[in-house]
Amino acid sequence: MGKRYVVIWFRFLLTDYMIRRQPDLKGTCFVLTEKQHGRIVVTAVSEAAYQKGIRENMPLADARIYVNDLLVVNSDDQLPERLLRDLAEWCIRFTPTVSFELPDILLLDVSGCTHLWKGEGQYLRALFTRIREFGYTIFAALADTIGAAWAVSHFVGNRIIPPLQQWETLHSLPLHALRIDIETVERFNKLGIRTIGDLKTISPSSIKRRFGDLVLSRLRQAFGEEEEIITPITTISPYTERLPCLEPILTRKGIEIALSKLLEQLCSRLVKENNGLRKCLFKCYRVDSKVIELEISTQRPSNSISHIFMLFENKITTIEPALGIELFVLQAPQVEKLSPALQPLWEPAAIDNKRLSELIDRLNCRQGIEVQRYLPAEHYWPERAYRLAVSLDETLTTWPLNQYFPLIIFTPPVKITVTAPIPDYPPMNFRDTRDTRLHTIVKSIGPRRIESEWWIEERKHRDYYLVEDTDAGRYCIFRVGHYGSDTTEWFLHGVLP
Amino acid sequence: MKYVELQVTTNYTFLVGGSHPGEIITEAAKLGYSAIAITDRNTLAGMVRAYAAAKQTGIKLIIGCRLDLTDGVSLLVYPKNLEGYGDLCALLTTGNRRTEKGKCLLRKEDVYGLKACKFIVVPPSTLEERALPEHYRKCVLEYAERFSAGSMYLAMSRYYLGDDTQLLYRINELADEIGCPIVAVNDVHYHSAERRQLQDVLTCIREKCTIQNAGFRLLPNAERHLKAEKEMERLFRQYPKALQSTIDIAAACQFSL
Repeated sequence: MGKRYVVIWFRFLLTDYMIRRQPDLKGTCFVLTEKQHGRIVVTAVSEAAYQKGIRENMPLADARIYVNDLLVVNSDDQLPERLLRDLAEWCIRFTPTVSFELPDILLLDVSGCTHLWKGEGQYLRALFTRIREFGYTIFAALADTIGAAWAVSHFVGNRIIPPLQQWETLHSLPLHALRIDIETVERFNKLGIRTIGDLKTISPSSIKRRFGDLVLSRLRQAFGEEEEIITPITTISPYTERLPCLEPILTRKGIEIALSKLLEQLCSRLVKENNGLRKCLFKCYRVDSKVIELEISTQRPSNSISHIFMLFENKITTIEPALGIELFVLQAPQVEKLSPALQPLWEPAAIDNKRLSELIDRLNCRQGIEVQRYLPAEHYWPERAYRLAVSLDETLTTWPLNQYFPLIIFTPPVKITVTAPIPDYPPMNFRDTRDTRLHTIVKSIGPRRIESEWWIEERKHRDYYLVEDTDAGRYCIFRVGHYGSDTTEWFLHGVLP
Repeated sequence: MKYVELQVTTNYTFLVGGSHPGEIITEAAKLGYSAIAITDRNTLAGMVRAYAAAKQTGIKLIIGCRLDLTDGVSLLVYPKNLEGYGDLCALLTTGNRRTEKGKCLLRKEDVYGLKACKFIVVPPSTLEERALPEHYRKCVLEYAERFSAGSMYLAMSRYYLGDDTQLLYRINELADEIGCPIVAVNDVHYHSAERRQLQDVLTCIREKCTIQNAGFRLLPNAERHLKAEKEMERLFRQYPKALQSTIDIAAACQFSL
């Protein structure tokens, strides 16, 4: 099945949006302007202004001739992109692959979606009507290729082009419909080529030679001979956690437990993304279908469980469980990036770290110095038993003392040759392959056998030994695999200085 | 046969053991064991299956139970005859009746009332500050006074956690101090090393966490499986008496279902 695309062209995107925001602008003539090369130029017109004859890229002075009391409205540069992005996210209910193109286009890949609306006609009509209800003037076209849909929406109107019928539709359209710039179109016109049909009769190599790759590419994209790819937008999943209860909760303690469980899940996600919430909504769904909502907001983004719980604590007394609450939902409608300096305010343990953190910052600025902090991670496998701390304020869990953990760890472990009595007694000496020095071992403890963490990777087990040689150097070495097999290898994993 | 495995946890200790009693017995038969004991925690539930499998393969099954006490170190108990078995069953019933279904509440005082049984004290898994944990030492001294002479043993296992040699040495030292024999066990949780992955998953279910978050709650190695006789001899080569004790206990327990 071939691909099908919808292109939606917002004829008056910005001005229709202005009318939505201020309904009394409806029907009036107003424009959006911008300063270009020293004069003020109209960049967007309202529908009423368009009817009166005002066009985009017309100087404002000229526009004032058409309409005396023309209203000029302010807007910001980011507005078109924000609008189109929001509209594109809204369109996800019609198809998962949506993209937008400035200044005023939405591209939808609707292959495989239309049958859910029982046909392409119903699909396009539904889409069209819903967007019209927002107040936007649009032209929408559905075709095999983006190029064809674009051309039809801009130069024909609302149409559905059946599959493989691009030629019939496109051949009579002017060259502007191919998305190439005005100068090239005028050059073509001088040569007598006015429609897409005319262009198709010329051999591709001559077009390429005289007008470049872009024209040829656009032509081929329109007819589906070249692929055009859209990069769909991605949406962030909303910050919502829910907790259904097997039995309706009646007690205050139960509600507090539910809230802290949900906060744990929500805050761990926020912490991972280095975000904090500004607003938090706690909803309780009662057995009798009534919903109780509690909302808190913070001055600065926060992802601290204790702090947010404290903010909710006073409000919990106002919850009336009546017959019981069967579902708890915790949402964070407003989430912002967390600035790291704010964290110490919530954790009382990290008070005096200010001077320490300043020292570390000063050291890090110097050439050749990098300060890192390691925290223990709960893994038996030494390569994974430590992790880099993200910030100075992470609290320490204790380092497990009974592990054979070298203070300086070599990644990857260094290969050594060893003389050891089989099967698993500590070695008598070992030779470091890097400098071929022989270390005679006087003391050793072990073996400590560690199997691989099978949910991460499958490896042979390792037997670890801590050994001390005649120079009182202490080393952490291990053997891979069982004694019986031929492929036993020994490695030096680190030193304890 | 120079060794009898005396500490075996089957899946009848829920979410701890990783093999069926039948699988344990079959594997033991394959390894050439002449006798084996099953010691599930605070229950004798797995005995019937174990007995059926043992009858089929011709291995002698020694009835045993691991008593987890609220106020003392855990004990492995093996009734020597019908009277001992009856006492053990009555004890377990008392423990079950004291609390809710599925749990068993037992205290040291209850155990002191058992006669005609052999007791093994379960060893600690690691040393603390290079010495035996204080709690374990105190308990063992108390047990030594209360149990009749010759009925108590101190168990030692090689856990392969790194301080095995020191641990065995300390237990042996304590045993000499109180005049009590030592016995070797392997703390078996599954019949063969491949079961380790399943046992890890069972641990996660028990601890209600995901496998990625389990961390140190899982055992680090796969040594808790039934081992061959030669291997046990090698592991306890410095303590041959410990191996002999297993034979003695197996011989003393003549009770059979």
